[in-house]
Amino acid sequence: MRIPINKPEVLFRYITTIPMRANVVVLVLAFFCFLNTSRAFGQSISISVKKQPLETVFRIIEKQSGYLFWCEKELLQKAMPVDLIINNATIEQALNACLKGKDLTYAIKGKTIVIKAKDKASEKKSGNSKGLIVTGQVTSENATVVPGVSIRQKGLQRTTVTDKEGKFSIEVTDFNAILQFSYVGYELKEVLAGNAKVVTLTGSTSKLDEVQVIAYGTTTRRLSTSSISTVKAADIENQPVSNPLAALQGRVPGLVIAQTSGVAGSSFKIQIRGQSALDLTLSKNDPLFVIDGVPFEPGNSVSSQVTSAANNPTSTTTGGLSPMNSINPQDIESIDVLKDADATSIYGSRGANGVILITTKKGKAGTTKFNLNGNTGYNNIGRTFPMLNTQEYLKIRKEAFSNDGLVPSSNPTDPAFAPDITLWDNNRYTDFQKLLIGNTGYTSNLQGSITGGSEFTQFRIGGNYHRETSLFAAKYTDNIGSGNININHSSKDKRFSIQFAGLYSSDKNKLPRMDLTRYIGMPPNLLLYKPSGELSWEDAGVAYNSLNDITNPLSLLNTYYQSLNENISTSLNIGIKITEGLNFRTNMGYNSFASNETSLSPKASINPYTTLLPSSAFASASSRSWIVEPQLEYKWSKNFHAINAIAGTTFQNKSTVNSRVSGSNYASDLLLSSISAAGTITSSNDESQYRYTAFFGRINYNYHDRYIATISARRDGSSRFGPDKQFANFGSIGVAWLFSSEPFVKDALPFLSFGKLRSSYGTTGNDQIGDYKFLNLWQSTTQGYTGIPGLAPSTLFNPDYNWEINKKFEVAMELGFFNDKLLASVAYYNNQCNNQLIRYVLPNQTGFSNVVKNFPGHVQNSGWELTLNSRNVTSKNFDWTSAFNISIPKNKLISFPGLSSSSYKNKYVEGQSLSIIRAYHYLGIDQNTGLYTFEDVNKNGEIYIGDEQYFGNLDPRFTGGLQNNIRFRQVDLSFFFQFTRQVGPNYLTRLFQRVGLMGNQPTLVLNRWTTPGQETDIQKLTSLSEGPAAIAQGAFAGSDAAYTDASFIKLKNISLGYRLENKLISHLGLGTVRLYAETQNVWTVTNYKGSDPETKDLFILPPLRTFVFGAQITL
Amino acid sequence: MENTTHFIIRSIILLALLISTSCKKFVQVPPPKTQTELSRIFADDQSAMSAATGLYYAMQAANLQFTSGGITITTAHSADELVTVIANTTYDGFRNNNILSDNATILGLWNNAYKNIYHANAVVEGLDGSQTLTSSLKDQLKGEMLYLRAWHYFLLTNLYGDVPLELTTAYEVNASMDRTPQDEIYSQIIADLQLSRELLSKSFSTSVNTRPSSAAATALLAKVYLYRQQWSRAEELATEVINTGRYSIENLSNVFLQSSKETIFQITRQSANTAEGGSFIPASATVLPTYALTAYLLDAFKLGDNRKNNWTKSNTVNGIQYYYPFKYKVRSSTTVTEATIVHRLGEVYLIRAEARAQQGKLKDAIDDVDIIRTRAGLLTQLLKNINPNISKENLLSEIASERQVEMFTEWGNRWMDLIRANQADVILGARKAPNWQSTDARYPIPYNQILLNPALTQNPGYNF
Repeated sequence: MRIPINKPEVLFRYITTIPMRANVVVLVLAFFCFLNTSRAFGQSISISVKKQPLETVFRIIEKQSGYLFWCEKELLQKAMPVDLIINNATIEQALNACLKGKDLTYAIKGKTIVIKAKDKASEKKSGNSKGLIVTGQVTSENATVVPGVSIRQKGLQRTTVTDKEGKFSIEVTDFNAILQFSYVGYELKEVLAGNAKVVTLTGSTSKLDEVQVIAYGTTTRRLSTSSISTVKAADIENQPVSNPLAALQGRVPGLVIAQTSGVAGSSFKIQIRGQSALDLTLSKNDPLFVIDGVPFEPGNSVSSQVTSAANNPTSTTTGGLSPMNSINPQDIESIDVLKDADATSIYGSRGANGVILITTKKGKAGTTKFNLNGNTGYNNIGRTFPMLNTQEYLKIRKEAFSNDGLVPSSNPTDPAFAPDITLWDNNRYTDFQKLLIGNTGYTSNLQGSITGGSEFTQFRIGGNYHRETSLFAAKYTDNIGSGNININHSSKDKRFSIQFAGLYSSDKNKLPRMDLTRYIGMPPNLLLYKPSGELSWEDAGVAYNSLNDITNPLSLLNTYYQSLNENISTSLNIGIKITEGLNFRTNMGYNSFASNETSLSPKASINPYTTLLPSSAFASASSRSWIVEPQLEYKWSKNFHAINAIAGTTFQNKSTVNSRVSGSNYASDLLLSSISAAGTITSSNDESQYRYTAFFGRINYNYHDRYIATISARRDGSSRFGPDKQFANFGSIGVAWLFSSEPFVKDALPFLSFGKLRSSYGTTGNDQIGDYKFLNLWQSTTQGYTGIPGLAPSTLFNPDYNWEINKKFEVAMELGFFNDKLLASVAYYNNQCNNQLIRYVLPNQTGFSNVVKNFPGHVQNSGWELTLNSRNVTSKNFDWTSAFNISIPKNKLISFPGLSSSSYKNKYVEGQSLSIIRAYHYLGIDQNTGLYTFEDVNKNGEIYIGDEQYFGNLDPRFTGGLQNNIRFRQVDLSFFFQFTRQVGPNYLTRLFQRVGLMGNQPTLVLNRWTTPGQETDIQKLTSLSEGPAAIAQGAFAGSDAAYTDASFIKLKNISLGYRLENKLISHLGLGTVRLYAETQNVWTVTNYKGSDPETKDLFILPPLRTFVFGAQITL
Repeated sequence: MENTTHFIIRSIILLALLISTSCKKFVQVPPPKTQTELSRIFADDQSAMSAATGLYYAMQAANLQFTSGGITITTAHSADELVTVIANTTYDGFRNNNILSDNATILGLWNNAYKNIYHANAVVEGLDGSQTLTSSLKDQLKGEMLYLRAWHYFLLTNLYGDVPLELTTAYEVNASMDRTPQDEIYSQIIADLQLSRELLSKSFSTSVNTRPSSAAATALLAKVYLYRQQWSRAEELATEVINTGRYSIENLSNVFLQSSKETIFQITRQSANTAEGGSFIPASATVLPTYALTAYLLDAFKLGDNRKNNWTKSNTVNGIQYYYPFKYKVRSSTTVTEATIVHRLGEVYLIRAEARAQQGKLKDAIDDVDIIRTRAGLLTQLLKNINPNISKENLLSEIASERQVEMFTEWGNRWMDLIRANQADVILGARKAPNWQSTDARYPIPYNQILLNPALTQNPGYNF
């Protein structure tokens, strides 16, 4: 039988039975491209025929209505001719009239009318082996064809896929069959087989289909074979913070971020999936930061070289300023945290500690939009720890003396010399906590951007200004100005594309030279001002500098520290399509980070009772880095197979220059900023160069969106290793099985909208050990000797150290329920690090205390991570979504050869965490002596070396966060809880030799031991710095009693917004206006004894509570 | 499809080739410009000189390190010369002869000494490996380094007893080296000094005393032989130093000046005076000195000994007179007039006197002692006048007393003299009772060093 195809004049699509060789009769549906779809048709139908075949009538209807008929030719031939006169009838009336009295029925689906036999016949058909072939084409909303779309008839196994032009053909049982069109990134679409000629897919709104940025490309949560967590702009924008790291706290499972201080611009400690480095002084365990494909070279290292309020008072080497503070969170589109080997292996030697990819906001085609966002507010200290007032303080002091059998004396040579009791005003009271850190700082932020462009060119230009004053004093400000430009362009034929992203920022941070929080323990009756109004440095003839640790803290407000950080980060990505599926790309980038510091101590900040003269310190540091990464990308797909392969190389160069100059003995303050005016100048500088190259490749194979595998490999070369050690290979494999795409799962578990099982295994490396460690380097001595310059060996050198290679394994299950309304994922990871580079500690008889060396210490980080995302309510007026995550990490030192004879003997224990607590075991207060007692392990009668034991560790037991976003009409509300369960050192560690000595204490010491039988954790007071009480006090600070629960739940962020009614604002010519209030570090629930369980130190400014109010206007 | 595959394969091969050839070079970076590689230092006279000079800088850079007053101050407390009088517990362990092995000062001295020894060894290795240096410079620098190494080991072994004898920079070997017996250390010291004497005599300008000369090596060797009780060798070498004629006995107030003619070797500072002067001299005439001389020392001065007036000074606070060492007379000043003296002719005379007395050359010995007494203004106490027929034992005792008042608070002479003469138990046992134990004559090996190198053993008398 002939099928009249390819004849435009034949308007019928006959459905004809075709005898096949295997005797299978198949009905073929012929498919034609319609030429006349744009023709306008009348809505009403008028027919006047006599004894005409049904076919003729249908042709007439087609002509008049624009509807198409689908029908089995057999049925038409069987049908009797019709007599018909109708006028201005609807299509239904016309059809009813046509088919009256016939065994036929019809169905209208879109612009198609399907004519079929009445029920009896169709039932019969579905039962036999006959099938229909449906062909069609799939397009997306913007009318481009979509290849690779999976199509199947609901309830059946058979699946097909669209070809390059988006065309498909599938066998169905009947026209009422429902076809399911599924393609990643689009909503699942169900279409009646009869209506499947042109199927338009709409983009998915599922979280699973949001873009995730990976190394050299993008993926989605649905198709990814690796462990990636994404934080989107929506969650970052709502937080009034100046550092993007602050915006990530608690939001990414496996990522632990803790602020080191509440001082503006201060640094953060970051760890992805636990500590693997045995030696944090050599490699800091910091992840690699990449902004728009270009490594952000300063990373999470501290940018400051000069001590300031941002440094931790107990050690100048910890804390400092964060270079990330110069990245404006408002410019960020997304932050993707890459955790497992599959995601990070392609970064080779740099990915051992995970990778954080920052993607800036890009322009969008369409009308040009202006966005203005401004807010202003204040910040203050969230949680304080009450300290003694003068009366209580003096009582404690006096009791300490009387316990020692001493009488407070006014004689400086008397051991019981106590000027605060005997000489100073006993009624004067200063609440130092309130005075020094109890004030309010102000913050304001103004952000503007313009976006727009055409189909071929899009741009976004943005600028931001952030200003924050310190709660120490208003003159200490942090001013950050930044600008960014993004331009995307492609040629008309889309064969050539270019993307440019540029960021510039300047952060001028003025701080006191030291954190004033350090001085909240000054005696509360300390005289601060002379009657003349000048700062006092003595009281009743007792100079403060003659007393231990006593100073006038207000003098710090006369010091001046400024850090000016400038960051330029640019990337240029050029793409050329060579042939279909084959693209050549080059990613080029330049990053420059420069820091200039000035620290001045003028006369007014110096105790006149000392011989010190004004001094200054200057430092500058700059790192410049360029990267070029040519790549070839190849995409191929056929039927159910899709391959995406990439091969490329990296060339990277980084040079760093640092210098430090300090001047002392200035004659006056006049030229304090001029180094040449200094009486004594000392200076030093250093520079280094880092070169890095690699050849990498990755192949991603996807079968049917069900089975996916990714293999990546990288060969790395780094200048940080000696000759012949410079190259190493890394690789990984990741596999995923989207079992929810399996028809049997689809049908058996209809509520399961998504299910994926994935696993990965691979290696990553670490070359973050500093430069030149393999060379025998000598450096200039600070001064010469008898006029001859000197050289001295810098370090021991080891030409033989090798790459550190970490092995990472992960397995995860990701599930989506009820149309992805609830998404859940559970991941288990196990990372092994066992050829670590450490500064191997040597006995000093070698001349130095350490050498960089590979060490077979074996560290394991394993853990569970769980995330839940739910769309609780989705409606026109009310939306509510929640996101929850929790991580349960476990850190373990598996083995450490020669531990007992190594310098780590007292630091690590095999089988325990690296952060194990080593302390004396506190046994309570001896009710006879009132002194702390401890377990004397070596039974030698004293609590000293040899009595330490191990107690748990400082790792978080679990950490996580809970986000809720609610929208009700124009009102939006989001709030975020961060929680951590952990043990930490509390305020008792800082009481060392303090209780009873001159210096204030938390009010908790009022509960000191006074009478036998009393239950307390403060021993009998003593005024002595020697003797059994002082020894017991010292041992207590090093005992397990000083570690307590430091768990907390923080209401980290609340954001409340109101979108003004369209009518009102359109009247004013505005697009949208949103008014909002945001607050950060709102509330902390904790039993922690101390000011903040995050900074864990009474004498460090805790993270501040910030409140801002602002408006966002889009034109 | 096939073309594309070929294209990809070709591209990958090309890229791989590109990588393997160019990348090796790409990742080879030159050494940093602010530091220099060892191999380049010893290619050139100037930089080789700097490498050696760096050690002198290191020796005086910080106060109270191994060679910048540290030994002086600790041993003066351990012996019977000094006590700390202010509320500072740093040297309490030394004063009370109950040092714990985790004492920070003990560790600091140890670390500092071995760092300097590494430096000396590195320079010696660099010099030996170089073909391009001027040979006279090579000899001079090697002579200096061998002297410094020998001197450091001499001090180390007298403080700690047996110590690891590190003679190379090979840290893999050095890290696990156990303690070398003192006899072996002394053999090495003697060998080093012999070679040093030889190398320096050939090459080095004799007018400079801020670097060790052949005479300095000879003076140290004389002292070593004295400690080893090789009297004739000691006498011979002391005579050799005296007979150079380059050095002469200065009057008391000039002995510790930079310009002193008595100085054989001194360590100077470029922009500061001595650590000793800075530490011993109080800030003003009314405050407590940090460290006060003991009555034992003050009583050892004979009546009319000008050294008591010239080399000590006192402050009276609350009616109590506190004496402090005043050999170095500048506390701090931007004009540098004083440097820490390592060897001076006065000591060489006393070395010879002792060596001669031990050999029974009593008359010659008396002459040497009287030279020192004359300078001290003790003209009425000259042995040749008051006791020309003194017995050997009595003469040795006179020499020991003379050493006490001549060499006090200099390089631990008092402490080491008592120990080598087996007088520590007698004198310190009485003066430091009940704290003194015989085992206190040796400082403890730093506790954490034993942890780091289990091959090290602790000296007797220390718990850990």
